Amino acid sequence: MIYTYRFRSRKVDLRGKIAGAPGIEFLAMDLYLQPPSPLGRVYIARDGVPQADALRIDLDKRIFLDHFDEPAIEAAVQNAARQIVAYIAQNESRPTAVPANLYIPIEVQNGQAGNPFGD
Amino acid sequence: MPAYFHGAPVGSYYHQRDARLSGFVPHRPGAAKSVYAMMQHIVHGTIMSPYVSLTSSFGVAMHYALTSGARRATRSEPAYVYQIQMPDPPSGPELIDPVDAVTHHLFSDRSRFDYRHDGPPEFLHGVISPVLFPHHLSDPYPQPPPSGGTPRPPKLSIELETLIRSLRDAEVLSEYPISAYWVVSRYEVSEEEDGEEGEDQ
Repeated sequence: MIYTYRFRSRKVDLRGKIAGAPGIEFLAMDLYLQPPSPLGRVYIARDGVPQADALRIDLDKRIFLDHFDEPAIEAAVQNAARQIVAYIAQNESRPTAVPANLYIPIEVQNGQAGNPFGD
Repeated sequence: MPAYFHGAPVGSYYHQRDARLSGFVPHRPGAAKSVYAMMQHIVHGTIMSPYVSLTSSFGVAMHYALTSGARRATRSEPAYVYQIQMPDPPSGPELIDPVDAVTHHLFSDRSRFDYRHDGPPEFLHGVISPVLFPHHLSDPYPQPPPSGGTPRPPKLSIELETLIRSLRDAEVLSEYPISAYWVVSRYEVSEEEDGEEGEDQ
């Protein structure tokens, strides 16, 4: 059984707004609106090629949760995390309230499943 | 022991490996264990870590699973939330409560008793959410009149930041492997697909 949640996100364009790392360009971010999660995904290009897998970011901690072996790239990428937080803080707004049923799976709301947390 | 949870977003280690078969192991089991290493693990997301992170909150684990994947969690590729039920010690592992560990560390040597900030009351809001309250993080710290000296942001110690981050995530740590026998459930979770009401562009 897959439990589906009605989370909503917005894709924020980061192209040209964040200083890149060697061979890395920051393209966009999935910023969660409901709930206003401190976590998100940042899409990058490596050597000009957009990557299918995004980097995971923690906006509260101002760090990427993914890491690079090469120290110069790792330092530049983690510095970019702080730039992204500053950019989001300055340019994006999010509702702080969440719908009461946001954390109830759609299948449970529709009576298609039992409550995953118990009765 | 109460139930604990671990969120496995799409593309993560325990998304690609079924923890119901493998259990959970620290990324670097042989790495040095210390309060400092624990604080680095929590605050900086250090992967060279001898600790496994768990949470007592299903909601926190679900947030990690759904919102921090390398790709969006969909019905065709869902993320996972593992539920872990461990026996009490000594047959189960001693878990580390980061708040308790940091507090003990601070109280064991009063000279290190410097977790307190020296900013205004709203400074903590900036630490908790630098996106919502960025200015509170960088405003100069207030000084007694007539003030002066070099303006700087308030003092933020890694101890205080560890307390805040671990409280946010209702986090506990294990420095021991967590047996597959104790992983009792794996919930499959996904976001609503595009075209329903999912993503705002």
